[in-house]
Amino acid sequence: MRIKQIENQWQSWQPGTDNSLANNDIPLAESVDISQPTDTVKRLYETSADSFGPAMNITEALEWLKS
Amino acid sequence: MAKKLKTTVASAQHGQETQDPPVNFRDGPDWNQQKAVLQKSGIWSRLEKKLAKWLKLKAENPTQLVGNDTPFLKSGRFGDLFHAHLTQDESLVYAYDRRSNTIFLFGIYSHADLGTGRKPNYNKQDTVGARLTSQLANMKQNTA
Repeated sequence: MRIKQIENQWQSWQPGTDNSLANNDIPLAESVDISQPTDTVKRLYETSADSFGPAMNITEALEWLKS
Repeated sequence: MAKKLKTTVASAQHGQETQDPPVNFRDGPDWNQQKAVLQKSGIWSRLEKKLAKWLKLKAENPTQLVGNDTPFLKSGRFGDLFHAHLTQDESLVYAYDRRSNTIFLFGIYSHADLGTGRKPNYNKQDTVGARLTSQLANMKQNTA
């Protein structure tokens, strides 16, 4: 919700005409170091990028092959 | 007496067979991407039939080497992985974990994909080998 609000403000912003972002009291996550992935992001990446599918018996494997 | 003994041995062997857990198959994180490439090039349908036959044979005996089913060279970059040639160029890369009786299917790769052609591409082997072996290591670590 907050991100959407910021996006909308950026889209409507025109140079020299509006200062709504500065006037709006929205914290812009200044304390987050986005250059380093957080542990949560690392876990998400590891489970999505390096995980194997569920165990299948031969019947399921043959069905999976056709899918 | 001999007949009775034979029956007992047969029963014991049968009991052993029924106690063995069934072979499981699990597809790796690269599988869908590799499959999409093969579908796009139009050779997936041909490989699918061969793969189905390979899966059935492996389900019966996971340690049996089927066709051109060979381990990679131990001195190479692919660790304990195996590859089974489905065509002259495309190989199914897989690993077998005896503890969980599971075959891990990484994908179907060409010689060029793996860097294992007549003119070896050792950089490619390093890159792909490291990625696949780390996928397997991560999986074993997570399921240990």
